[in-house]
Amino acid sequence: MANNLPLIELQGVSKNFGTTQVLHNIDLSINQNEFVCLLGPSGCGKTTTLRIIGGFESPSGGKILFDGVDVTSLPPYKRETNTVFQNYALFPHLNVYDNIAFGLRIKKVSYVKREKVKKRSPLDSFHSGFMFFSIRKKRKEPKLYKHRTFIDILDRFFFPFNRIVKKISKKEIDERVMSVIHLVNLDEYVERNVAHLSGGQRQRVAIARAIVNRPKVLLLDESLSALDLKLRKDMQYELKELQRDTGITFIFVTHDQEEALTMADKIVVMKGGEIEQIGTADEIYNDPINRYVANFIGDSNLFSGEVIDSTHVLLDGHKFSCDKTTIEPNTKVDLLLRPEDLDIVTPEKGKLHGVVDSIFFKGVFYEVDVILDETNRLVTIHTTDYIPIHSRVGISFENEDIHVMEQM
Amino acid sequence: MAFSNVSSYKREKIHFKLKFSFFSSLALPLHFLLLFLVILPFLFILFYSIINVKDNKIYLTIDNFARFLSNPNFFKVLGLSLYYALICTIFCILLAYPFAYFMVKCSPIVRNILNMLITLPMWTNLLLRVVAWKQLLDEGGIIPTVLNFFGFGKTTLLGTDFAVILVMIYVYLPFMILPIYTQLLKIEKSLKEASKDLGANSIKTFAKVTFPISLPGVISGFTMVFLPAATTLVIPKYMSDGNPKYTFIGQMIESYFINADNRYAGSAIAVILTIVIILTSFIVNRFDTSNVKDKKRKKIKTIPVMNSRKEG
Repeated sequence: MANNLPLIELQGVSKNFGTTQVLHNIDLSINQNEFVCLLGPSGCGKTTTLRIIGGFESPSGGKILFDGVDVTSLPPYKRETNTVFQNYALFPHLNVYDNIAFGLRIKKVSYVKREKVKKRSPLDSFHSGFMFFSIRKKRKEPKLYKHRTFIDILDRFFFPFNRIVKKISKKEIDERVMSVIHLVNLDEYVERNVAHLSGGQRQRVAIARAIVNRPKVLLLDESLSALDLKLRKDMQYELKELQRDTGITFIFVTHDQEEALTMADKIVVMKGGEIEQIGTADEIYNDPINRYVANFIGDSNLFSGEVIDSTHVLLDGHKFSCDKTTIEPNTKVDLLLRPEDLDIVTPEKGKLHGVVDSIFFKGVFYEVDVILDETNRLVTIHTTDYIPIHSRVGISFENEDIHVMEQM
Repeated sequence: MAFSNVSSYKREKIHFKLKFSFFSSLALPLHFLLLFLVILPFLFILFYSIINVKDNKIYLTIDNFARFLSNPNFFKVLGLSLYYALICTIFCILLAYPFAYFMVKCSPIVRNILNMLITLPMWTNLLLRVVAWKQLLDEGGIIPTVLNFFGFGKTTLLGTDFAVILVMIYVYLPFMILPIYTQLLKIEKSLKEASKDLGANSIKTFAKVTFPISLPGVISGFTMVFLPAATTLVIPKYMSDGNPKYTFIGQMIESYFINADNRYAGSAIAVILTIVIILTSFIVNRFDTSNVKDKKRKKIKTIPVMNSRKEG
């Protein structure tokens, strides 16, 4: 990051709906050009977090900073965010083109001519206070002056040199809309009624409508959940590429862990209105902070155990070597073994022993459930070999496959 | 980058098939009703309007039409009816829209109560309500008495524009509120949020999203108010207080059918009125936003590479 200041910062944000507290003291910072996924089961507050960032809900407590500026009380139309809604929320009375051009047609850009002029005109507050003539402020980039409203004329009269206000020209709108339409490959559908589009196309319109405004942050609210698997996979890939191309920060809300792992630079796992863990996909998968995160991300076999020393743990009464852990000896811990890390071997070679209970064909692999001898515990293993049911097997794994987590 | 064209657009086609089935037979009573109460009477009127009977012989003629279309007084009456209907409709829209907007914001219980209160007057006969208004507005009625108290020197309000339009608004307001209300109710909250998200403040959101989407409701309200108001019979009859200024087209038809016993002339007026009304609704329906047409694809000119950071 060029500047160390995060683009968005949530500081102790909480939210109550009536008596129920939906968010508890959320602290989160998001950097520029990041793809952030808010991940969690339904009702964990991830959508509320997104809506607070977008300005649709005001937090009951805490602050939201954009580029270090407090925007907690700003309405959505003054924030530099755009949202792709879960149901897309396309305007039914407008066609594809007009839907996408909506934001640009409304936006009025006020440029300050000289960078040096730090003092803003008193009419500025009038601009933002008087709703009809609200103006997005943008600095630099002097363009031709075109007066549109009475306020603009006043503005020009009193402060003739430091400010240029104009609507975006029709030509520019057309260029920007068409380029975005091309970007999302909707060239054929420019003048279509949005009601006649398929789910995937509608979603692309929704994305185009948001990114055409060149927001700093794009908020996506479970935007892929309505699509079928194949389309969703395509869209995940497209979104990721879009984010790389445009340099927009994406905040994506999902309950699909696979989606989060595929797309995100940073995953925020949430539960019951609190953040459980923040990290890259790799970190979240390989070093889940607790049993909940481990369960939520990927398949997992969880054991409760105990730390013996920094390189050994106790698992079902057996001592196993593991990677170095910082957890104090003799503390109870949760141990995680990913199904794909486990191998089925002959009983003599195995570290754990058991009988195959069931085997399912999953396409790429077989999912084998093994019941361990001593504890009757069910262990799931992903393997490419077919293992006959009821056969005795051994399970082996490497030392580093044991992930040690503190108990919740 | 390229988004793959995953699914293709299909145009829905509607096929009409005459096919007898149990469910389609359920509509038969309606068809009979339409046939005997709408289509046949109208055909009769159409037939009457182009005939004349002399010495027990039927002549085909366009005299009935010619007679009115060459009569400036007829146009005056027609124009007056449409004018008053239009004023009534405009007032209804101005009153009904804010009310419907307010209703949608209420809780469901309050909404139901308001809904009931709006429809409640319709349970009473129109004639009774108009006569009741007549008493209120007539000499010695409450409204003129109160106005007199404040120094307005009128003893009766009957026979004034105020009375005629007031009662018209009173009678037809529910027909304006309800369609607008239903249409406003259908607008999803997320659409307004999307509009705000895209930079529109509350006023712009209303102007660019809420109002255009609710326009079909306004249009059906317009149809439901303007058409009956233009052909109203009872209201001017009781509100005019004998003032011939308020002879509307409905009364004209009535007088030909009943008083003058010239059903051929009356039918001709009815046909002319129908044509005018069809034209009006045709014009009004052009403002309908609910049906966005698919047009041919627009020509794509230049496609600059999108890069927000560099330009912003």
